Amino acid sequence: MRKIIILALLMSLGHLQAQKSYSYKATYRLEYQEDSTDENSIQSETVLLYLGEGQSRYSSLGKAVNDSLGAFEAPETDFNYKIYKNYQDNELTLAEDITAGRYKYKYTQKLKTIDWEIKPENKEILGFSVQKATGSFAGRNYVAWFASELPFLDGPYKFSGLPGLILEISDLKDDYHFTLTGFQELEKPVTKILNLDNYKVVSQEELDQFRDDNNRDPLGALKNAGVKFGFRNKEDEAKTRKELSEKYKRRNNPIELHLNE
Amino acid sequence: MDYFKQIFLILISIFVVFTSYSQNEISGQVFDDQYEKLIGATVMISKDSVSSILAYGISDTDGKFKIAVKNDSDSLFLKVSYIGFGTFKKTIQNKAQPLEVKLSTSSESLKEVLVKSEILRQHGDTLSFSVAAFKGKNDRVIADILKKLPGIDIRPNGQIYYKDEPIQKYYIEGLDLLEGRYNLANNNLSAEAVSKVEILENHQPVKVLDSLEFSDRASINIKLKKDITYSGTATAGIGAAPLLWQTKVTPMIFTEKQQAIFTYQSNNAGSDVSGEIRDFSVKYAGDNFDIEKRDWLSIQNVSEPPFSSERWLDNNVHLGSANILQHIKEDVDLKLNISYLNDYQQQDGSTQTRYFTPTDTIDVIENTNNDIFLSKLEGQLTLENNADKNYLKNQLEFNGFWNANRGLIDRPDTKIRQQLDDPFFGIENDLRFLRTLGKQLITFNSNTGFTKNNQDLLVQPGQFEAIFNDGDSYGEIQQLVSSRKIYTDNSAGFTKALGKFTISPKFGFSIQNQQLDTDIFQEGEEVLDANFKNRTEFVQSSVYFKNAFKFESKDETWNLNLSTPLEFKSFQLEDQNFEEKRGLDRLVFEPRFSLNKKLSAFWDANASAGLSYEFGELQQLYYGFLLNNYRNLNRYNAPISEETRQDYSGGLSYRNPLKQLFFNASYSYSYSENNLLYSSNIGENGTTILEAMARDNSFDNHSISAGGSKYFRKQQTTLKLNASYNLSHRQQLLNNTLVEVNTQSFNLRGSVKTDISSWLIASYSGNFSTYTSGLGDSDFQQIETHQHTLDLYFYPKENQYLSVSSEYYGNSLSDNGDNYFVNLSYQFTFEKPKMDLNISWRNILNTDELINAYNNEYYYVQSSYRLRPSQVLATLKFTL
Repeated sequence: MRKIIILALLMSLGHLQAQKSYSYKATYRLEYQEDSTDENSIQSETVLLYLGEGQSRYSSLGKAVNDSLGAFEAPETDFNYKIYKNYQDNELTLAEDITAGRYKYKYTQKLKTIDWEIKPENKEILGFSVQKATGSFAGRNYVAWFASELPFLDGPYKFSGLPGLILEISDLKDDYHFTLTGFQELEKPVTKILNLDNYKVVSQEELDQFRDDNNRDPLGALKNAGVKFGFRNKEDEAKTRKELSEKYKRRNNPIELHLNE
Repeated sequence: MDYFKQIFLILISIFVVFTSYSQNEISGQVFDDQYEKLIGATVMISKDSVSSILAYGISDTDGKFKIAVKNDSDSLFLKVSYIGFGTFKKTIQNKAQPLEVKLSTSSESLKEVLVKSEILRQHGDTLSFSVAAFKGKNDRVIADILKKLPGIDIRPNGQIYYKDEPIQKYYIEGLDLLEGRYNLANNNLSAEAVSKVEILENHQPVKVLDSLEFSDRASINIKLKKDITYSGTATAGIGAAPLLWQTKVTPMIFTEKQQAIFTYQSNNAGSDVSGEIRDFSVKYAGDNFDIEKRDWLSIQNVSEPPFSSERWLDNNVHLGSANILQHIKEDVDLKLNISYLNDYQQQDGSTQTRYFTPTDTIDVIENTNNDIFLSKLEGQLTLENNADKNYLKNQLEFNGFWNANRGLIDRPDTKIRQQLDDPFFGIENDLRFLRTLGKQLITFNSNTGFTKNNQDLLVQPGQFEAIFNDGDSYGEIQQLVSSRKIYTDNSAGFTKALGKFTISPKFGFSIQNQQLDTDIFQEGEEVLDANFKNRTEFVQSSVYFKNAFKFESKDETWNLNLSTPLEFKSFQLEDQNFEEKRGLDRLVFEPRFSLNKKLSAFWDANASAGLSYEFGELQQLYYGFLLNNYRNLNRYNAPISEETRQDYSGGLSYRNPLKQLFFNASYSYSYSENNLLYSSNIGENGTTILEAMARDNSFDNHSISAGGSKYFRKQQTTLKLNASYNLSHRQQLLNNTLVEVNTQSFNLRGSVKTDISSWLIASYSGNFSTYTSGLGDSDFQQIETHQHTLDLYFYPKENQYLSVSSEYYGNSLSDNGDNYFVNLSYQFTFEKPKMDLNISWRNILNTDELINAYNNEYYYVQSSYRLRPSQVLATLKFTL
């Protein structure tokens, strides 16, 4: 049975439309400082990592809830992307819906980008014994703690490649800090048809730029996408713009400081 | 010697340590119990079974691994694991060696953990958000929290959207107190009183439809902290000059069985308060007929300025609203929503109208001074039984208006007084009933209503002297109108999905009976001539079968819609004073087709076509003359009007968000044929007599529009440009001559918005348009209008903002048609006590009137509207 599943998986890997099955779910709390100049600007979100055979799927909770209901996708967190890691092909695909689901973009890159250094330190996280490792990724130096008793080469966001699931990872400035809050085996595996055909392939640079444009002027982006607004008066519009532009100003601290070529 | 020995030993040991660090490469291959290679297994090396990992590897596509180990111990501990397999553990020699690892399946579960309650909990389709986690220091009311929730978006008019779709219900503790008027709760319920906000995704409010009809819309439920909650907000504002006030107080109470929200609002600052009680709910019942107020008579008005009412509306408004809900028993609620608005408005202005007839031009100069008294009562009584097996909602709605207008027209030669009494009453009952019948669900809708209108217009001195007094002037003329209508519209239907297609057939019948009685009194004497009276009865009935097909392709590139309503309509018109009856029976088929196609990632195309029929309403069907306005006398002594209309449109759009370049273009054409031709006779003083006569004629219209926008990243500037052109032809009888009326309009709009610095945003927009009209081959009459607006927004601190806007309006017709305006607004948010202070200074230049010009087929109008003077208003908002 297992062989058949593996075979089926391997056969379907060529094209991106595949039946994906995930048997485990890791839940993390992500705390991040959205404004690098303001220590009080720490936000938090719950993110999920679904783990399956040779593959995983990472997204914020809003996103995951949304998909499980089959509803269409729209922004509901600060992180609107899903990351699919594929260990057989050694690559990851980041797929993102922007502007209330009107635009769908994706890019694919090599999976193993971090050269981890294993450290001898140990500690315990939620009863799992974890070991320390350090590495750098996209302009930040990270400390990761992995649990070898959970034999997944995975972790939140794009992090992977340690001999055990990463239960905690943070950069040295502590701008981004992921901590495990739950690990469960799913009673029955979650299966999903993965169809990314509707997503247009772009470069990471293009997608980062577009996301930034969209955050800078979400009202304009929605208008351009055909959503109509009827502001009652200029004061209302000015107030909304002020809120949005302040939010944008605060969001000056992305997880990837430069492209990891 | 001992000393040397020690150093020697240390050196040796260092050397030994270093030599032993010469790498040993441990390699091997991982298989499962069937000897299949395992890819992605983790292979870990440690000193012994308890110490930490020294090195690790991952098996590749051949199941092979290679690990370099730097350690001097004789033996090493090898662990190989793979999900779903038991961990392979073995002590091995610390030397280069190939290993073969065979893993066997294991059903042993991994350890599970789960900690602390999260902000968001999900059960079923419900997302639950803790308000405490989202509440910021500047948040006052629940709307401030809702805005922050993922997926929620509140539009400027207050309508709430979830994932780009309007929400369907706004519950408080599971009860739908306000129906669609949720602005009242959303803007006034203190965030402090709320513990949780629940978003019910894919919410089907009707229980019997649950699991039968999929809903893609969400509802919101507000969970309160306490079983019994008192809450609300208040706003108080004061300004000058003259003395201005603006107040609002909205108390509310919520208990297990009862809920109530009250509001009282009042201002004389030109602010329109009706938005607070605006209804966003969706109606299901027949939409053929309604109880909306329709006016037969009016006094002469001046067209309103195109900017916010706060700068021109001279009002004195009071609004009160009460909303009460009683939860009678499980699934049964009784609701009463009632509101009363009282307003006194003053309107001052002047107009110069020039009419072009085939033989003449006629000028009319009017100074207008109107007093408008509005008094409006609206109410709704709703009984809803939402049980598992059936659903019943009965809504009784009533509207009462007691409006009165007084108008004074000052013309160079005369003063004309108008007085209009305009009471209106309407009542409607809406019933929606759903019941399962075997496996099928049947829907019944029934909508029945009644309206009554008694209008009375008195004009002094009397007009249309040639008609009413042999050309001699006389004291007064009075028009009385009494109209009634009663209707019922009933339908039954069901919805079915068949693969990619959805069909929803509906079968129904409707009937409406309208009665119109009108009389004219000259100097208190009834005008007995039947040409100035109406005793009309008009019956419209219809039997219809409506069906709609929808198709959407799986990859979302095609979207087709086709609706095919078939309707048998019958019209009967009778007037006691005339023997001749008018009737019309028609079977109408009004297909409409629309299509959307995604051409590529950036290009979209759409097209639509439709055929429709319009038949005369009573407003264009009466035999005898009606004095609609002091200088308009209308009648439609002709067959029932029948218009056939075809319309076509096509469009193309390009959206490239990566380059921030957007472009769209569209063209539309419509052609209609009408059996009635309208004839206007314009007299010396601008008095117009409108009649209809049977004569086939046509109307056609072409519209083209195109627009684009581009964002320049380096300059942080958005540039937008739009242009549109419209051309139309129609026929008209003007002072007994048949003319072709041609109109052309062109509009060009541009805007630039730029972020000059982090604390200053500037935006400019300009609008230029020309409107040209002409009769037959005669010279065109042309008006150009210009509008320029410059806005500056300053954000000096996080809790403050300042905006300055300047505007210009101008036109090519008026000699002194230049209008300049400057306005200023400042807001400060206090943390303790929690309050928002807003100071606005409107019309700083104290421009006293707005001069405007527009033209319309065969006339143009220059108007000036008296504005509110330069005024400062300070308002303070706080929670109760």
